[in-house]
Amino acid sequence: MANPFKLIKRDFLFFVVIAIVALLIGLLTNLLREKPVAIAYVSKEARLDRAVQEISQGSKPTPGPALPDVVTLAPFSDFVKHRRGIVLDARYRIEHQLAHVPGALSLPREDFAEAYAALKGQLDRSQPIVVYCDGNDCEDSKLVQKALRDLGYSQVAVFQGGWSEWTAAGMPKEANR
Amino acid sequence: MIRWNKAAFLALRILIGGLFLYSGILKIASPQPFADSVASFEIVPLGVIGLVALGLPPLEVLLGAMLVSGWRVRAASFGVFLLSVVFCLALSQALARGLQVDCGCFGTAQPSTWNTWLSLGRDILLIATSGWLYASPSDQAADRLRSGNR
Repeated sequence: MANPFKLIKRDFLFFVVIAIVALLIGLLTNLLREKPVAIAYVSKEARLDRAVQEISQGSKPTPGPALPDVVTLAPFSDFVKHRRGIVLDARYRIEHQLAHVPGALSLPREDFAEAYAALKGQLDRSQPIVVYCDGNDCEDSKLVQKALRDLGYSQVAVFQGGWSEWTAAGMPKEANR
Repeated sequence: MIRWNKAAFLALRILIGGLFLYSGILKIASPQPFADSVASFEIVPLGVIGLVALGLPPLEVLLGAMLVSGWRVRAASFGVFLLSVVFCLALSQALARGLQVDCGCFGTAQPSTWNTWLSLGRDILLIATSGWLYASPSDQAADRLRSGNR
């Protein structure tokens, strides 16, 4: 019968070796990524601020009249139905592709700079915009709202209930074909 | 009885291995959201969150592959056990501090206390099953055989 402490020690050492190999694999694959992950953490807010700064390059556009900060389901539903402005989906692109609010455009918080560059032509600073994400607790819509305001879009509101309230209320959905 | 034990051992090792493989691959595919999840626990120093976010997913894949393939099952079970204990402690401290965290276990999810309790329950199950795999006599016998061959 082998000494259990010796076995545990041996297995622990093996685990350490595997962990080091895994870390090396992770670091190497990170070098090959288009957008490598920073070793020292940069918060979502800071990443978005950086993207906004890159887009605006110091220029400060004149803001238009402001919308309320937050809209609830009934006015948002009316906004969507009558196409009173632009609806933006701040969730991950894959989530948007699977299903979204009819007519909503994808502006994911995670890939803000790239998505904004692609959408810029369709956005008008004088038009009202409503942003949504997963639901009450998600912060992506608020972050995208702040980023858009920093870029001069002051008519930006957040649909607080987000995708979870929209679907729970049985509202129509649309998917990318 | 021994046959049932062997069948349970095989099923559990493939199930847990598959779970770890799946979870690791999801995180490798999108490391930044996983780094955000790690940060939400507020226990890892900001300067090394990237290392955790980059190192942990391949570790899960390696351990999962070992369990599924049957290579060094004992050592892999030990690794899964250790990781599950660490995850459990991280989730418990988040619940104790009232933090809204997204465990990031299987891609991103909406942070909520309910999800955190669910993840904690899953981790306790993982601790129990990986502990059983580690202590299982059938695999100790296989490992002894392997040691003898070396």
